Amino acid sequence: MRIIAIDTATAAACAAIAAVKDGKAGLLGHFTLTVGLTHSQRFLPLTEALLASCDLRLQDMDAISVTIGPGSFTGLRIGMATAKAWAQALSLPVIAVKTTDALAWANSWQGLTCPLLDARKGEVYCALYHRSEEIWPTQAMPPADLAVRLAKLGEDIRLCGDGAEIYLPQIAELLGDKVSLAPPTSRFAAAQSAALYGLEVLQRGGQTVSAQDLEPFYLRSSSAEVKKK
Amino acid sequence: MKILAIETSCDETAASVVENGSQVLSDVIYSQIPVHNKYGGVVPEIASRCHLQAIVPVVGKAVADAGLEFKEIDAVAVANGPGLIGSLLVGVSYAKALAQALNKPLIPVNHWQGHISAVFIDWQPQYPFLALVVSGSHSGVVEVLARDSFHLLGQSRDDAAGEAFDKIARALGLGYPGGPAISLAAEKGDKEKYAFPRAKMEGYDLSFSGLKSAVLNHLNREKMQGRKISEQDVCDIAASAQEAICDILSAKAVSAANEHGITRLTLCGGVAANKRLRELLAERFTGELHYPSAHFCTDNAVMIGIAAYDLFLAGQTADLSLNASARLPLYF
Ligand SMILES: [Zn+2]
Repeated sequence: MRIIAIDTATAAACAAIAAVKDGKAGLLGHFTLTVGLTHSQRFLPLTEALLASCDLRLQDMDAISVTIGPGSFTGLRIGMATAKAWAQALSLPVIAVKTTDALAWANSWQGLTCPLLDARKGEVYCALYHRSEEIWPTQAMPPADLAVRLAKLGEDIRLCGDGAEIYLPQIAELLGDKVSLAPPTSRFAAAQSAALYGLEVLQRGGQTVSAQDLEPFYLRSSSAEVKKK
Repeated sequence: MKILAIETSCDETAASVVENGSQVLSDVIYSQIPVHNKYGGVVPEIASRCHLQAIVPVVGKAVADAGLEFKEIDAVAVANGPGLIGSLLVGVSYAKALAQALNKPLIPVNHWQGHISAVFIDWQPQYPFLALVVSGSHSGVVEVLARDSFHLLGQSRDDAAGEAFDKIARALGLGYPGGPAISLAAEKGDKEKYAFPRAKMEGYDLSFSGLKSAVLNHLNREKMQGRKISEQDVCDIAASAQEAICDILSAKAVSAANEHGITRLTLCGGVAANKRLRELLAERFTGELHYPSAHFCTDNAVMIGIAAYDLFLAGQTADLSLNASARLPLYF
């Protein structure tokens, strides 16, 4: 059983392939680029390289897993359009994973984990987890508000995601050395955990969606819709 | 050769299978017009979201209508510009991933070349010919020297003609899309009531922003002076604005053709359906005139499939790093 995972929702473009062999699930490989070039140009060649390095083809996959947001609207749509085309052409099931879930699972430790994504417009997308358990649902808020809310908890917190490094100083002003950055090796590793989670779903016969039913988790309405209300 | 073509440049999600650049095996269009109608124009973020929602059923239907399975497709073509970047990216990302999964060639098509190719459905082209391309997102004059040789003589420096129609229609409360709405109102109006300005542009370039502003300023002035715009005023303004836009377009196209000794002229793009524009061209141009049927004037994927075949024969395929470009130039 094999799965390929897509994550283009943040500043990093990542793909990962995971497989079950002799009853054990594990990662075969993962590529991450944070070179600041457009995902549109870089992501598919990255998947080609990853597949070739694993000596596999897309046709060898049993499922696709993809991060559905929150994240950059454009980035999300690049990954989702890719997942939809693969799933439709090869009749594969899709496992939809929230970006914040995937980031939290990749970085879980004994303390609290806070995935933090740049949401522009003076806000961040964030959530809070204890190991893999969600404590605060994924939401958008100004980073200053997040800092205040995190400080009130008074616990050790680790930040991950593409907003982690940007907003660390602001949060550290209130939380001091109780807040730290996830290691750079796992800070953006949404595709790896999406791949492993996808395998787990497949193994226990959990919920998958079709190419057509796969929907993004934008979290925010388009600004035109907001104005109209 | 069966090419699956995908078009998502603006607010239509379209897919089609065209065999050998001429046989239309399927033609599917999902129009977002009702979605954008309440905003009085295309909202780019909403358009991108709609494309992502529609792409799977639209492409699935195009393949099924052609009586094919995905693995029987010989190549995937996609319009990669010009257009709205967010909209283009959905089609391009999807088309690339599809070509990758099917292990078939990927053919990028310039949206303008697509519009020009739409005329080949009903007309076996003779070269050279001149194409006047006019729609909500583009207006230009193209000299077509051969099936794969295009020379852009001039284009709008600001608003596209269709954009001017949309904005004027919105100001007049006529709804979206503006072109057909203005045409309809203009039938009951006096086209000589107002002399809206025709910008003098160098060469074959066009400009519609001055004209659009003149109409909007006129409406504002009336409002400031407390005058009510009657239904007849709306029709007169619509007729006069349409006359100015069609006058500019037809004058440029006819002078470009005459000065280049070209005796065949085609009109393509969404605004090509405009009756007054066709009348003016027929009055002013002494050579042959060719129009795609109304259905193929507006954005569709058949035109992309036709153009893609020519590009494929010319060896113009792309790899998986293909990007979308909002301002993709037309050059060969
Ligand atoms: Zn068009």
